[in-house]
Amino acid sequence: MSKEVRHILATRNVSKYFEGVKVLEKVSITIPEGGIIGLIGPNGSGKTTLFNIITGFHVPSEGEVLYRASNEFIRIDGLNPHEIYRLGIVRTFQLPRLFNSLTVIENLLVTPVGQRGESILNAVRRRTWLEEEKNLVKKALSILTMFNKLEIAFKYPAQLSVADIKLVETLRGLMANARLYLLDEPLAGLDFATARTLLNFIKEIRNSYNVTFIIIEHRIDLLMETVDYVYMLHNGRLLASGKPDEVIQNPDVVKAYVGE
Amino acid sequence: MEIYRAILCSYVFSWIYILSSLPLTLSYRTTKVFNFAHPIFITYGAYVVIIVNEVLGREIPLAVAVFLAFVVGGLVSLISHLLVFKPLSYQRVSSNVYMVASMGLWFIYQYVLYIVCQLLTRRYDVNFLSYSTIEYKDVRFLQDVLGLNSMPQYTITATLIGVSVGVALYILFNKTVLGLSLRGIADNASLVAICGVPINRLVNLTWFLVGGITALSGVIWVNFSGSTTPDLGLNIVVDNFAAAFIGGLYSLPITAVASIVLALIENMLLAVLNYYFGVQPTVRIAIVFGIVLAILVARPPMGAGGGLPYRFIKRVSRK
Amino acid sequence: MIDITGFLINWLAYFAIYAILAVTLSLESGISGITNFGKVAFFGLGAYLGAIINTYLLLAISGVDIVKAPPYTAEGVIALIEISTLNPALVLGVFTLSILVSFIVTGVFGYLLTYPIIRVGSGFVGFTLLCVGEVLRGIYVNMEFVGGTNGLLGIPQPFIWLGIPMLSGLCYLLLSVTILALIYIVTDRILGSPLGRTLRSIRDDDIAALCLGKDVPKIKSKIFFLTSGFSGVAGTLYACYVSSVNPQMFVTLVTFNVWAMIIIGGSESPIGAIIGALILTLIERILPLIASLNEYLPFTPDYLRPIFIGLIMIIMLIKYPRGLISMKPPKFTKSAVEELMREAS
Repeated sequence: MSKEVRHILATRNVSKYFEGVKVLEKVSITIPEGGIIGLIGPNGSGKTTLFNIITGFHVPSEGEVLYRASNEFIRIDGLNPHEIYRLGIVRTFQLPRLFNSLTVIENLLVTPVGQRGESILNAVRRRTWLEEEKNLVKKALSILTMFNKLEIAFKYPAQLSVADIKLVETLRGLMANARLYLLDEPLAGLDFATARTLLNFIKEIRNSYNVTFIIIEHRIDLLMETVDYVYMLHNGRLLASGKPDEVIQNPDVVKAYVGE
Repeated sequence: MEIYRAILCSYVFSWIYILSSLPLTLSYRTTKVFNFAHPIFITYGAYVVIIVNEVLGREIPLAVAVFLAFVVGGLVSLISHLLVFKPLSYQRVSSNVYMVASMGLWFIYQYVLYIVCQLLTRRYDVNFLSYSTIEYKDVRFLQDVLGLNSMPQYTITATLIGVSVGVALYILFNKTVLGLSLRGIADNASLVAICGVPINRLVNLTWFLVGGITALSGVIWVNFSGSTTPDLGLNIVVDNFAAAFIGGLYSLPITAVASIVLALIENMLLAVLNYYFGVQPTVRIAIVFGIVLAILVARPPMGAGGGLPYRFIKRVSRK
Repeated sequence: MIDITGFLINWLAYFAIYAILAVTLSLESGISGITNFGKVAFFGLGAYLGAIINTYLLLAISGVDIVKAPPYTAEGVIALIEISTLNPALVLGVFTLSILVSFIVTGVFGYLLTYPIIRVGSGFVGFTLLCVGEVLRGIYVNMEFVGGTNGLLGIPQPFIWLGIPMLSGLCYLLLSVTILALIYIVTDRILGSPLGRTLRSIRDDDIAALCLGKDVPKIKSKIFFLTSGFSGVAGTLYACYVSSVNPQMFVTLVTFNVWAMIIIGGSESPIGAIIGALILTLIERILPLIASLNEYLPFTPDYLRPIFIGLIMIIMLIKYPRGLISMKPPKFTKSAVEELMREAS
């Protein structure tokens, strides 16, 4: 990575133990701003745990997580999840956690941060939040239209197919207006066309707003076309990193996936 | 003399609290349901003994009392499960709904008891709404034989019931296949089900045991208290939930220890406060509640009972 | 014979007060997921605050020596009756003050209570709040200042100076209904706003909501401030309506009745809460009339009510857990979406 690139996130020797079991060991990654970074590895290699640590859901047993908030790096490990969210980092869940009593469109409207209508004093006066809400609704609808899913706007999660639930989980994250998006297996269960549309959408967001993505994925074929750089975890350790084609051809990587 | 009496009270209350708090923890662990009707099992246990005592002409043996209370308490618990909690589980509702339903059950059982007490008071011309101490004739006999007449009967009763239940449960849970299966479903029901164990019957049995054991604390109570009222459960339930909280709604040993500590604090501390400061016993509930609040502030059982797995410790962010 | 107008005014006044409790309960428990099994605590606190202010303050301002004639004595009560009939402005002024004080103090009390309980599960929350109610009651019983077990009597109804009981009852009813309408509007506005959406997301999955940026404890605390404050106001309205407070009025059975209202009417919708309140207060007013015809009951007919309500509650929970009126998507989002969808096509 060239020296002029600004980094937005860095983990330094992050380790995590759960009741004596080592889940992550001295993982150090750096994420350039505006990049789309892939995070791959076999199941159980600690990828989701790393996301959990970055977003404050877990506290690292060792190491630190640094984030460029305004113009300086601050430590964000130890902050609470909602505080980290407010700093501009959003994540999606590998097993979707949609809100069951909210319709799809309401789910999509939950994530944008700092909505004026969320304070009590403003909530009771419709005029203060109406405009903002309309714009958000427009945005949500246009995103659904992009995926030809306008018809699910009013459905409840219980009425959706598994693939749609996964898609809504990802789209909900993308509505957030964040600076750093952590997407956990966004392509799982999606058909090829939808997966393509999603990856193009991600690239478009990155190009328009210079925001950063870290994507955990198993569908390596699709992922490699989209990402600029790849990190690979295996048994909690950083096994390889580099440009997509380098990493794919790395014999250790192949061995980790295919087995001895 | 006051101290001696306080010590005896601590002792008997320890057993009463253990017998009513442990099943509460067990109940939550197995069913994940916060059962607000729990205090009723204590009350019904006590009143079964009272009613039979009256019917038998005030000559009830402990063995009969224990048997009947256990069965009635177990049945009430089982019926609550079969008629209310199980149908609710088919609806897949949130845990709040179970709690509200259990509250409804509590009121139904409570007021049915009030009505029964009123009817019986008329019938037997004895005040069932404030019933005096019951003496167990077989315990009396035992006291005579062993020369323990100087001790108040309730200490013997509590010891007999407490120790036998303790031993029985130990054998059940550690030495029998049935007991091991029960422990299994308390922790991971689906895993046990896959092993081919009949889950439904075991869950029913768990509910039955919970109600039955809790009812036994009522059997001790009527031997101790000079005035048993239908509100009995309400007086004890605060301590039950407090002990269960301290145990994180999970650990049985900690719940047991907490029960003993609570009994000690209540009886010894109150004796001191009363003697030196003239503080009234009604302060008891405030003390226990204060303890519960203190625990919630100092060391909340994190994630227990479905709460946020997060204690909000603010770490200062540095470069 | 039964006096129909009197019955109606009386019923609706009780209805308005209980409806406030039911609407606030639906907001805090049905929508936001704070299982409030201690509703009566805030109701009682507001009632006692209203009682204290409308007696002690009234007497003090009017120059009565409250040490010699405190409101829980006959002299105090007589003095209160005199003042309330002769000085309407003062009575109304103190009454308004008591409503405001009740709102703020009970609200703050609720807010402070959330600190220890909001991080733990709903079972703990429910139980702790239930205890709060009982502890407060224990305090009232032991405080001579508020009359101990006998409580305070002679709390002036703010419209009593009108002279005609039915007229003052009617005025009070209108006042209560106005306050109810205000609280309903606030609740409805909140529900239809982004805050309402956030609250429902917190209720559905508070951990996910936390990870998606919602400061769950703070939001719950703020909502609880609001609902507790409103419950306190309902308490003050109640104390001034029945002109007395005593500890036996504020038992857990009251909480139970309010829960029954929202379960029957619909726990997620303020309209449902109001309908539930309407039905249950009507049952409560009518049952005594019927029971007086039934003199061969060998037990107190009052005891049948909680059994009956408990059974209905459980049946509703099993068959219709959402109540009679279930939640529809908030008005605004749906219409805006439809409008935009029309524009798009």
